[in-house]
Formats: sequence, structure tokens, C-alpha cells
Amino acid sequence: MSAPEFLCSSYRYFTRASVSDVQTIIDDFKSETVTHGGWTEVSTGLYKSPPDDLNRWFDILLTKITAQKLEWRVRDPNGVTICTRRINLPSTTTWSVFIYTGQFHAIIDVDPGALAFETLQAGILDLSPEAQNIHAHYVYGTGSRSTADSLDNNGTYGCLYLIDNVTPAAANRVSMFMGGGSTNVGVRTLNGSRVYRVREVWGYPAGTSSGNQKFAGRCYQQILLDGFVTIGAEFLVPIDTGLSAKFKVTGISAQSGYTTYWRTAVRIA
Amino acid sequence: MAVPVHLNTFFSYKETLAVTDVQTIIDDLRLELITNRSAPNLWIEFVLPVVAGAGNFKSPVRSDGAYFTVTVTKISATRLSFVVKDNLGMLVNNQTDTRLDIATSPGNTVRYFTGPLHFVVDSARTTPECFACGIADQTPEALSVPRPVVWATAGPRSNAGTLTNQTWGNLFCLVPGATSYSTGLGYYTTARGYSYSNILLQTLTGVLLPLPAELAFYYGSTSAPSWWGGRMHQAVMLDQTQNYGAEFNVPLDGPVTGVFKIVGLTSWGNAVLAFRKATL
Repeated sequence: MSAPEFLCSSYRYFTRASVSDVQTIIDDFKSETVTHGGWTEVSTGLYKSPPDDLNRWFDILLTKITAQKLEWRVRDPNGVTICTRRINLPSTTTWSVFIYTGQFHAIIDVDPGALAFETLQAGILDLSPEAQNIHAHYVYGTGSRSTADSLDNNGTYGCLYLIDNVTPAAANRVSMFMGGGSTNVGVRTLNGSRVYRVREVWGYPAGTSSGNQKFAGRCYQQILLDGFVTIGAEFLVPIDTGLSAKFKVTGISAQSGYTTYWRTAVRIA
Repeated sequence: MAVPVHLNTFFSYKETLAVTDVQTIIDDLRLELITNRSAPNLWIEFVLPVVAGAGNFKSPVRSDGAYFTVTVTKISATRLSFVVKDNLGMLVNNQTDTRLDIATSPGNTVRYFTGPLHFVVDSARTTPECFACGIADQTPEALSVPRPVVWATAGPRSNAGTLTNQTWGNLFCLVPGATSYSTGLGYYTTARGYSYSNILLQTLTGVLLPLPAELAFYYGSTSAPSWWGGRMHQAVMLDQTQNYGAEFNVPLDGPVTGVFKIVGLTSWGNAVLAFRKATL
């Protein structure tokens, strides 16, 4: 056996409580990526992931809009802006911040206290067993809010920005593993064990912009597990013979109108 | 790596051309399951109930005691009946029986995909008809915990002989807590993509993406977890744009490649079903 490719990239995890200014998040993100993660700060607030041997990378421009608003622009190596998204946190509480990073992924997940989590996500997809650069649709991203600070459902469980055809777009594109009925998604075995799923992503290839999506790839260092788990819970998941990985459940929300069948968890150890 | 458990069981494939009487199918099944097979993959023919000309086939008993039986009865020269029961004696295809037709003379090709844990009869009519059943692979869970999952297609024909429920999305399964097997479109199958009907099982570059055919149980509630039922043995889902009868080489492990052939179950979840016929 061997661990799947999407679990073989680098990963880091950092958390900080009692945060009240997004500048702290930017500083922590810089520390995690640039100081410890092999990323580079191209210019103020612009962080570039380490290129792989096929020169795949993505960059993130973090901008403090106000003390409570943080903006996140994600670009691919061709300079295409995949998305520009925000989080907007309350001024009346302090926040707990969870930062998950690696060569191929970056997630900032914020527990604002009494309100719902707000999250920024970006990364590169694992295209194996095809060549990792066989198509150019491998950078994804999203965030809880639009640049108008609207919670518009483009940052929810199934929705990511990705190049569809030739233009980045938001779409529901993460596998739900569902049947025809909306309640048969098979999240537990008959013995009650949790079913862990790959966070796989679908989209439109060049030349197609509607109809059926095709498989784009898998999110590195992320898995799905049933929506009945508690946000922040940690799970040991066997990933290879004699090797387990620890994943932490994020606050990435459910699509509006759906029960949260799957939560997204990110590797921390 | 290793070949996944659901693709690592015994399998056999047979094809008979120009079948004009379904008795040939019963005789072929007897050859495939019993005469030409040896332990531990040997089926047996149990004696009761006695129906003249029928085949009463019992699958090998798995280590946890699981097995299923298939009674195959000739209704007419061109119509066959299947009755499937689990190891508790419960009727799996809970509609009295499920039927399958062949064409009148000159008949049509009939294909058999069988093993200790799967049973498929595929009638290559102009409109193909396929009946399939089996026991799912629930690894990594222990075989006996908490019970085996037996499944059967609801089609291709009802016990009235009506062509219906031909899709592999219409399966009979036993929901946890239920006292009888039931069926419903998409109730016991698992698709990929965000929805069950908005993807093609291809990569963005057009390479086919064969995936396990998985079972899950329609639970009727969003307030409790729904259950995963395992994987069909020796089956893969393939992109629905592929043609009936087409064959595909699927890498299983290192140099091991399986050859899978699309059967006459119509698509569900934008996927068709293919069963293994060979190893390269």
C-alpha cells in the first residue's frame, strides 16, 4: 500500500484564540507560509506557494479591508484570478483562528464566537494518475463572502471557484456521494463506523461551459466526513498500512437548504 | 498497492450466441455455477422448491455464513423468472419475481457474469435486458458486522412481464430496521459529483474514470446519518456515454488490469454498470 497522492503533500496547522483584528490573521498566515512553509512573499500581502516540479503554484493576496474584514485573492500561475472573496467578522467578540497550509493548500477558518464560521480556501488539485499539469484547471479557491461582503453561498460546502471552460466561476462541484434520494449519502457503515471520503472536485473542460461536469481533481490534505460531527473535532484516519493521519473538522458550511451531509476536515498531524 | 477486495473475488464470464429458448440460460448457469466450477467458488443446486426445469442455485457460503439463492424458472421459451433470497430466507427482489426476456427466433446473445458474490444475466436484445444480484463488499468492516448486504436489480421486467426499472439505480435492498426488502430509484446507489445527475465519469481531459459501484441506504430522514452499504463485487461504474457491450481495460493494481464489459442496465447517476469478464 501507499498513501494516496493527495495526502502526500506538506501540511502545517496553527491556531490562535482571542483575535480581534484581521491583521493578526495576516501576520500568522505569513508566519505559517513564508517563515515556516517555504512560501515567498512576492510583495506586501502577496504570498506565493512553492512551485512543484511542473511549476504549478498559486498565490494569495491578503488585504485588510477593515479590522474585521479580510479579503483574499487567489491566482493561478498564468496570472488568472480564480476568485476574490472575503470574511467579515464581528467587532463585538474575539475570534478563534485556524490556519491550515501546505505546498498545495491554504485555509483560514475562523470561529467568530456566537456566529457561524467564516472561511477562506485555496489550493491546487491532485490530478493523479494523469500528469499533474495535463490541464490548467487545477487552482481552486473560495471564501464565505463576496467583495460586497455578502454571504452568497459561493463559500459553502459544495461550491468552489475553478476555471470552467476558460473562465473562473463559482459552482457546486464537490462530490456529495449521494443517491437519488436526498438522505442516502452513506456517511456511516452499517456497523456505525464513519465513512471518510476524498474531497473531489468537478468542472468544465476547455470548450464546454454547461451540461455535465467532468472530474478535475482532489483537494490536497482534505477529506469529507459526516455532517453530524462537531466542528473542531479531530479524527485519526488510517491512510496507509500502519500510518494514520489526524484531521480537524472545519466550519465550512452547508449549501443553503441542504442538511450538512459532509463536513470538510483538514490534516493537522 | 493491492487489488481492492471487491475486485479480488473469483469471477467467470460466458457468452452464448443465438439463444432461442431460456432453458438454454438455465442450463448455461448450471454449467457456469456448478459443473465447470470448483470449491470454494462452487455453487450448489438445492432441491426444493421443485419446479420442473428450474434452476435452484445457492451461492458458496461465505465465512460469516452469508449466501444468496437464485431460483431461475422458465416462464415461456422467451421469458425467464428470477427469485432471489438472502441467507435468512427473505425475498430480496420483493415483487414476487423479476423477469427477463430473450428475442424470438433467431434469438439473441446471452452473457453471464458470475462469481461467489455476484450473479448477472445479460440478454443482448435490441433493447438489452439485464438481471443482476449479489452480496456487497463492506470492507474494511468485518464480514459479519452487523449483517451482509444482499442486493438485486428491480428490472428488467416486473412479475407481470412489463419492461420497467431497467436502470441499475433501481435496486432491492434491506434498509436497517426494515422487515422486508424494498426498492426505489436511486435509493440504494451512490453517485459522484455534487448531484447524482450532473457529471460525466471522465477527467477534464476526457479519460474515462471507472469507479466502484457503491450502495447506500435511503433512510428517509435528515436528522440521523444514513448508511453505506458497500460495493458491488466485480463491477465498476463507467461514463454513461459509453455503449452497451463495450469493453474497457481498468487498471486494478500494478500490472493487473481487469476487462469490464457494459451490461444492459440503463444508466443512473449518469453512469452505466460494467462487470468483469477477464484479466489481462
